[in-house]
Amino acid sequence: MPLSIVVLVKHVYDEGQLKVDAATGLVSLQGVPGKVSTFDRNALEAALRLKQKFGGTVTTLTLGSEEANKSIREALAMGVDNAFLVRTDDLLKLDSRQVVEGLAGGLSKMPKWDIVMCAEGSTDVYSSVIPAMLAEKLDVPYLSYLRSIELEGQTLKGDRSLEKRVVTVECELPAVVSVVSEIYEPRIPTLLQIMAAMKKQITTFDFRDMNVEGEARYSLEGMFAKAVDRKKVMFEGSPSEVASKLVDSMAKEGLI
Amino acid sequence: MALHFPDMGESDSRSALLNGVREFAERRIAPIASKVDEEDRIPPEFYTEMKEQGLMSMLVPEEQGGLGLSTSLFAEVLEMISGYSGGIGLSLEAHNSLGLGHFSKYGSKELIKSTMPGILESGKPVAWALTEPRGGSDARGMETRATRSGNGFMIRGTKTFITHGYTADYIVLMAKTEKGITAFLVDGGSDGLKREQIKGKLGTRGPDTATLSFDDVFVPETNVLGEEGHGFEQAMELLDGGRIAVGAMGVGIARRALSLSVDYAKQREAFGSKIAGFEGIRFGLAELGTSTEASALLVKRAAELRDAGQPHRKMAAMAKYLSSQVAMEATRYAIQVHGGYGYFKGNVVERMYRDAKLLEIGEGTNEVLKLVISSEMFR
Repeated sequence: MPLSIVVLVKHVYDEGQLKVDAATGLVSLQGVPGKVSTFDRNALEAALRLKQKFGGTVTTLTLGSEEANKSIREALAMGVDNAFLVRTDDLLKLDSRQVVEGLAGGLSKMPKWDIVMCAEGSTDVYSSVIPAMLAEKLDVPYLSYLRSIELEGQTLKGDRSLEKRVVTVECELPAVVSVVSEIYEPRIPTLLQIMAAMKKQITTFDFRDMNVEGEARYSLEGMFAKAVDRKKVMFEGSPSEVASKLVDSMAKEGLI
Repeated sequence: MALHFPDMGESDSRSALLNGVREFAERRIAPIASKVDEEDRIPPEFYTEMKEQGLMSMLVPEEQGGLGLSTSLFAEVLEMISGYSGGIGLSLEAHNSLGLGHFSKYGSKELIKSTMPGILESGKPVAWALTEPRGGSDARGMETRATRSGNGFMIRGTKTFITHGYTADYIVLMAKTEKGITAFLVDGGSDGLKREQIKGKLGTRGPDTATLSFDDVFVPETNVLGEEGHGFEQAMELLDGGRIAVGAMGVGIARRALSLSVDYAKQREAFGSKIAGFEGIRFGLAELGTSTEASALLVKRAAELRDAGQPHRKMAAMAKYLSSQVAMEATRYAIQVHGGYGYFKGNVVERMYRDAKLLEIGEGTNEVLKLVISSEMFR
């Protein structure tokens, strides 16, 4: 049975390039470039591998501004068949409920799907609540934090790591799934795929047409960098010298 | 497939492509760069990977089955890769701009049709043989001869320092016929061709190097590239492009050497503070950062002129002349910033210092480039 998989892709600020005001601790987003949320690429890889095994299509769904097309094209270069954007310029002003309703609205306008694949969280906000809330909204089962995925007929199975155990969970399709980044290393698109992805169609809906009612129940007031005191001690020498210096130093600090 | 980007701005497509190259360089090249240098060998399976990535057909037009990149974009790709491995950068440079570039540009339609698909499918680099034991810079004085014989030519002579010469399935060879220097596509399996591998390069290690002896090697007439007697002009035209590419390699090596130095200076402490705080460190980086960006602009300008079909011989020579020197200075300074740690094998800047030296010699020594630049100035 050919599968129809939708992967949620988010365009985020590049967290490595955030600027922090040393005096106030305020994080500025001014001039910070965007990029695809890193973990989404692992989810894309998981979806593309399922497609390779069972046939079908991989589609992406994104909520964001026109700028998000850059991340969508990265996904297309990896081998995604179709892409949809629910366009809003106010993503940071939406609360999780509004995001989920916007995504559900997009899904309702897209071809029928079997799996909605998500990353474990986005690399900017990392609330990790969207997949669960979306599953609830769509009234389908949700398998969370999978580190492996298998499909037998209409049954989706996967492993989730707990601290000292691994649990295997399963459900019937359709379903929402979130995967951890360890599941697969994402493929590197070829130059030809990158070039071809530039010409693929991205279907755009307007967020205002998604019938999202009501106001946001919480809002982002500002972002502050948390000051963390680290010693950052560098040891030099051969590996065995470095190891004994490290142990000595930890003993001195009362850590061991 | 048309490879222009109607849906997006030129800069978006360019940055998407370069992001892809950066990811490939970080994830696939960086982990093997030190081994490639140490063993002076690029594994055949890595060429296959580079082929699949599109790196082995960058300048070949789309209608011949390549990517059809502009010189400008090709230069930026090489710049990115050379910062991670000068050896792999050199291999891609020599193959794309010279060996395959020459064949693709001057091979007859029939020869391209019969041979190009196999070359592209193999993912193996094409060698380009101009230099001879008695002279690299004096190309016109070459001694390799091609004498008419039946429906082709018999080749006698010796070429040396030929990158990819030991393993290439195809060699683009410059030899003198009675009409002058002529370019040929020589099948690597031809009778009478002997290859001797030359080991022990200082830097840009990875691609093999060989001396090639042609002892009555027969090449059919159909394998003449372009017109008989026009090989020298073709070679000079190819070298104009090659010098832009070598210039780009220099920019890539200089940029990465400086960026590694900045990273190191931020974490290295001496006299109770980070060395990044010392003017002795900072001023050198400022000076070399400026020279690097100046050479990058020259490379960009030369590439743009070439893409626009404008004369660019002088600018290409200037680009390589400046950028090769800047790469040498930047890597030398990078070792200085790294101190004792930078002086040992296994440190990236040590390798980059050795890699940079080639850029002052290959594809026209800097002395030859000064002749080229001045002769263009006095035209």
